Amino acid sequence: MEFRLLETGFNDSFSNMAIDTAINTLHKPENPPTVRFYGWAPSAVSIGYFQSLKEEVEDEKCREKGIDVVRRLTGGGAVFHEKELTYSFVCSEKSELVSKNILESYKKICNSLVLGFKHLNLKASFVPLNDIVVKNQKISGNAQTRRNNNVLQHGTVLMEVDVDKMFSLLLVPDEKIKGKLIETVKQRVTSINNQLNRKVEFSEVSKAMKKGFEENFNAELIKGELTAEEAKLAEKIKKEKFSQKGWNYKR
Amino acid sequence: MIGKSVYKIPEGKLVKISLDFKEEKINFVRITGDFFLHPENGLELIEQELKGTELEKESIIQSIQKTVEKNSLDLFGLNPKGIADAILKAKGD
Repeated sequence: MEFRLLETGFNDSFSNMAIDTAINTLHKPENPPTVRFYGWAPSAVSIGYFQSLKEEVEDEKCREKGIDVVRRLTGGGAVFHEKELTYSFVCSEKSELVSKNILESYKKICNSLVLGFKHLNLKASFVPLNDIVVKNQKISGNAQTRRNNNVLQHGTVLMEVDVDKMFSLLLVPDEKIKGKLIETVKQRVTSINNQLNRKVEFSEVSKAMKKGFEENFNAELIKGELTAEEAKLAEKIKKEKFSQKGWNYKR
Repeated sequence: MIGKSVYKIPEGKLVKISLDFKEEKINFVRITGDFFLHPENGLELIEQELKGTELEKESIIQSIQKTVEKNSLDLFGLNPKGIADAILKAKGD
């Protein structure tokens, strides 16, 4: 079986979310599933579909620092995207590749990453609903939505993590315990660089994850491009949705 | 009357509520948080259905349950009882 592999490089947050959305919108059951690897430039905070931007993000501070803020199509929490590889996976909901059951499908898709981490000499495991951990510390967060009869799952693979910087951009419910919260998160989150004690390149991680997806789905990932239709729709969605205050501040 | 709450659902996620109510009935409620709900438009359906519902635990749970069942919603990190407790906390109970 062949999948399409998209390596779209580093883009701003609005483009990144618009590209995932366009792929998911136009995917047909007869098309090969798509795996996309990407990064964020500038760095960005993404918030979950059900979160309130005003309640979660220091949006003024982000603006001052040139950090994008965007609402995702998917649920879950706020994420600071900086030194990471982000992936997205799109297939038809009817596909036998993933279960109708949401928990099962998270497990299946996340197993691609678990296998990918193996190629980086890291022993990772899936923790329901949507995390991947190494030595009990989170190294990847994932989120899924099902729209247009397709499954879209995207997630992070942390190459390096800066918890202090992340919390300087996020609001917490109780300022008094922010320090304590930061310490807890530092103990619970890790990164590839941390675990390997060296700096990995984006390309090294994407190669490992490519192998992980291939092994997990017994498929070959063939490098492709966005179709003209996808690129055009992504531009439109970026302009009309993800870059709009009406979308980002909608809750 | 307006109320707000932040409530950690036992075994679940942190839910934030903005509530507007009058004479013990919900005028408007907004539920936010880092949970998952499929399909996503289901949350707005839950919020709409809650309008006019009495601010009483069983009535709120029933209203949410009805929307969840009618629309086959899948909830992760939240549940009708948890949402009801969060709403009642916003009311000041």
